[in-house]
Amino acid sequence: MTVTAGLDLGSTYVKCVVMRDGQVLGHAVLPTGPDHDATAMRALSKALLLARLERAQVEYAVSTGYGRRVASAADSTVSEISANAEGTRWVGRELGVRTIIDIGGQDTKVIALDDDLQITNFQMNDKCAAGTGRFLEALARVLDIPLDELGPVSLTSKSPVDITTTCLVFAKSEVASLVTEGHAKQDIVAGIHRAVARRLASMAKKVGVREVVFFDGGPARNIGMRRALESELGVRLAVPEIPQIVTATGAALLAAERLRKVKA
Amino acid sequence: MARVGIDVGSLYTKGVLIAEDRRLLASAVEPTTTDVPGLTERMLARLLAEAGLTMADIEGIGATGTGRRRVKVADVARTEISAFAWGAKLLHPPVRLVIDAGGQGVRAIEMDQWGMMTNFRTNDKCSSGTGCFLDTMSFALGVDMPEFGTIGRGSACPSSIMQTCTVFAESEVVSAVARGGSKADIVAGLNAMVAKRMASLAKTLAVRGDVVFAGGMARNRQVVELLRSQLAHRVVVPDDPHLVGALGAAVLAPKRRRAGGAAPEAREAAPASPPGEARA
Repeated sequence: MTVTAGLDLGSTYVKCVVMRDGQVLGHAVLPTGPDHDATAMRALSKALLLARLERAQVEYAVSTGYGRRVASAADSTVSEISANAEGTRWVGRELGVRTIIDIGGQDTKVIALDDDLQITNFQMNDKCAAGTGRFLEALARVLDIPLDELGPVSLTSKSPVDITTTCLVFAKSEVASLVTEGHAKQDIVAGIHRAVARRLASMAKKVGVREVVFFDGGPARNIGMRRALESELGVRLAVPEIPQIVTATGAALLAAERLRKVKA
Repeated sequence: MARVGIDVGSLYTKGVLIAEDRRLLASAVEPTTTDVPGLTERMLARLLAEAGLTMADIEGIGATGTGRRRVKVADVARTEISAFAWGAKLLHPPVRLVIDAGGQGVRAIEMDQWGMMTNFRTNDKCSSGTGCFLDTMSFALGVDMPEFGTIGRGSACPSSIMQTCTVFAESEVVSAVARGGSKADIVAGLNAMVAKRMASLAKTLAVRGDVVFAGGMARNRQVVELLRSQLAHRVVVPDDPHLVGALGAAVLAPKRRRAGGAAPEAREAAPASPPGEARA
């Protein structure tokens, strides 16, 4: 019996997954506070509580994500790309995934896998807020719509508005003037989804899109975002049940693998 | 006969009234609002009152800036590129390169020895390094814009700002302040980043002589100093760098107004300009 933990310290949320013998027993998703490490500790405690396990039972923990180096609970670290690919191999084990699209709070990634599910290529944007979760969050605030309602609201749109600016700072002003010009909120939201989808699609085309395409990260929960991305890419997307914890799951799996090596 | 130029920028609208000999008779600066036609009409009235003139004394009104097509009182709308080139040439005839750093974009315009534009570069896709970048940081730091050019000048070790994106750099600045970073060092670091971005845009063109640095950013003294240290040529900053576009628009206004106000063909021609005109 092996208990491991994966911690994904993202820019916006900290995700934790506790696994025992290849099974997820508990997970937690907490907003990243000013103290990354303290949030990671709380996420771990919460996941352990759900798993009905004690801290001492965790034999190995791996951290990943933007804040992975500050996680004092972790025994080692791994890059988000590797952790996300590992998580996808396990979560989507029956799907035959060849492309992974992941939208994070402050970055976006597209990862290409070969037929043996090994990483062959990837693209990452962590330089610019356009197309990230932050983009959706900031514009939802301008529109005064809760983040979780963006998807359902956008589905009622018949003619999405074209968002012409790329930069989030400019897009905020553009959205504010679209509101004053009297455009319907659902059309603006649908336009925002399309703008993000276009950016992701152009990144995805650089690495090459092969089906099955797997979509994870928090914004994958947004039905409007999924539909917009499907229409830009012209493919159906496979979305996991809990899109936010794929990378943390990958970290927990890699923890088990490293533990085996340590023991051997 | 006098002329008027109005530059409707993303953040501010600038207006000038110049005499026949191109002396500045009146100027005005107002924050840009959604009602551009009303704002510019009131600005025109203010300029006339300040100069003690009436519409009968005005031979032409030119508009430029992102909102140039919405200036109802103008006879003609010209791109920022032309307006800044002409405005800079009026203030400093030997100019060979104009750098205009405004609220939402940075432009560099290359000119030959006769003052004709030969090439240009613009960055209007990304807010990094623009006026609105510094506005965002000014708010995050609680340092007023006029202080931005002064408080960083004494900094011994300017912070290096890792993030380029305005949104991410804002978070970086906020956490640097939370960790107790000195505001002078952070401001110096931000100014260095802005100057570096402008210098690298300018260096994509042939810099063969005097550089005129225009736009609101040129009022930031530290950015001016840093830009000077990065360019091999003389950098000239006009007294009112934010008025250069409006001056150029005034110079480019048609010579003679048609009876009854706006020249009809110019008014029709302006909105029909291709949408890519600003970048063309």
